[in-house]
Amino acid sequence: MSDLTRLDSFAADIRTRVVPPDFTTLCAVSRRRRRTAVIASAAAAAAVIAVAGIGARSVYGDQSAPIPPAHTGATTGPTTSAPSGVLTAEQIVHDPTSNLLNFEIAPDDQNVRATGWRVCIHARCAQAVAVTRDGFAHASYVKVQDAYGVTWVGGDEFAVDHGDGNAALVNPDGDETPLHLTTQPGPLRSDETVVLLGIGTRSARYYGVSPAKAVAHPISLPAYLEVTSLNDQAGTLVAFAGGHTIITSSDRGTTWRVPTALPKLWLYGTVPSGDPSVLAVMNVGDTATLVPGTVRRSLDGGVTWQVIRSPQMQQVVANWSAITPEGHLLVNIPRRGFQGPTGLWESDSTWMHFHRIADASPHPSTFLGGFDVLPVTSSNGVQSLYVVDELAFVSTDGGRTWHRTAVR
Amino acid sequence: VSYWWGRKPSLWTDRGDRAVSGDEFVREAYASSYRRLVAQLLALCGEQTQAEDAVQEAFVKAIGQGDRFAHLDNPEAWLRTVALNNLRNGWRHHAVFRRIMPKVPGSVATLDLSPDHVAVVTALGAIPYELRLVVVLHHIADLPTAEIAAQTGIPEGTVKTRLVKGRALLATLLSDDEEANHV
Repeated sequence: MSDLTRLDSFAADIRTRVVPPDFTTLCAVSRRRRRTAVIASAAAAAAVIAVAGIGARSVYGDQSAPIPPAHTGATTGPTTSAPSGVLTAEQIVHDPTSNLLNFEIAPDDQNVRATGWRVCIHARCAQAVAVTRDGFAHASYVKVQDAYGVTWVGGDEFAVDHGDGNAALVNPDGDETPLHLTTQPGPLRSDETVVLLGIGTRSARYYGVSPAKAVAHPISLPAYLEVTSLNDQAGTLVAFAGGHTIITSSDRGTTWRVPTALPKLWLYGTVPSGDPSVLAVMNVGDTATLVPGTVRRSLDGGVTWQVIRSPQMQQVVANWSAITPEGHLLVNIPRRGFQGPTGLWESDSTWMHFHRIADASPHPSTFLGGFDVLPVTSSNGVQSLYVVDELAFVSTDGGRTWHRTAVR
Repeated sequence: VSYWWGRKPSLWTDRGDRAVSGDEFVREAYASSYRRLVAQLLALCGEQTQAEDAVQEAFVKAIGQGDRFAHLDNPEAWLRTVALNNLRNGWRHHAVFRRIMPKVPGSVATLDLSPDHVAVVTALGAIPYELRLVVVLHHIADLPTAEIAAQTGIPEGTVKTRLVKGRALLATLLSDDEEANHV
């Protein structure tokens, strides 16, 4: 096929499949912008008048009624009556109405962890992050714009994305070191961790963060491919690009392998691997869609991928999976009201045969949704954390037994 | 197919015969040009979200123009120029703009590109921007070199030179290769 034919085919495909949003939505955006512009103009005019007024008062004296003293209510301890804007980070985390948004844990020490919280009072919300090295016996607290943006980067340091173009490193001692964000892309260095910064904004990018230097740089990716997720899987960078095509780098982002023969993937996610020699992606669904259980496994660092369709895993909704240090696949099928198997299943080495090893959930409310399981892999094995609302459960034996653990 | 050379779509030729309001005219332009413009900008920037945002921003601006937009000689060229400027100026990175201004809806659905089309995007991304712009405008937007020169302000001779260079690069990068590409 000639290059021009492929170019035509590409453009025709995009033209056919792009779905324009409703035109009225754009009209509404345009109207809101006009209103914003008018309000901004009015505010600017009011500011000019206020400045003029202050100037006049300083010349002629203030004839208005005395201003009552500012409210100086207690700020210690959790409260739901104070406006969210004046709550301290600690109050946000410990407020009984706060919601857990994020849970991060160090792979080799489950006592080193960070949680992100949001509290909304009178429709105004505030967010904060708690960081600990002793399982929340003690913690430090930081206010953030977006509590989703917390990532463990090594030792007991966490990168916190402030959501306003700035990021910082925080540790359980309460130290907050601004992260210097450079713009020059480069491969991931040995002392760096992959961190997504700018979550929820249009400038979200994957960075390599060095906790020792407090410096972050964009990870070099194939030019002009939209990378939607990037994971460091035991030294191999695995990313989804251009929709859901897998691209891999075995030299930490210096070169990328773009397979041309891999079939299109749908609703796939990378599987956290406790075995450096095994990579996998599987269709994780969106926790509501029934999809056939298909797994793709690579035993050569992403060069070739083998499709594995176990008869036991067809027509199930798996909400998480992980690869054990022995190279077996763990799959969790929650109770969601569907017919078929539920529970935690472990495969043999072929990944074709599974046996059930535990109930799906350590808590009866998990089928309602809540926080997904966070599989954490390390040299010590798979630690599976199940977090539901503000309850968290941890398993250090591959999901066979669970116990409660603190989140704040 | 060129919409501007040889024949124009009925949208533009009919407008002299009908009393069409500014909003209605933009709506018609939206229906006929949105997908085409997104395809062109996606080929340029390689990101669906970025391409759709830039095109939607152009349409929001067109809505704000009211009847003035309806009296443009070449509305799609105007929209493309605004969208290209959006892309080039990186308006999305302006923190104040991002915080204050209501956002456009963005992509309704993420496209799953086939591996072959991922290869096309990768190849286009490997070409320098000035060459890529000319290749996209000529081979995807179907603009003749004279019109590219007029719309971009580049001399026509330079457009032709860039077209030849860009095309040669693209042919090399998109040579049929069933093996994995390293980029």
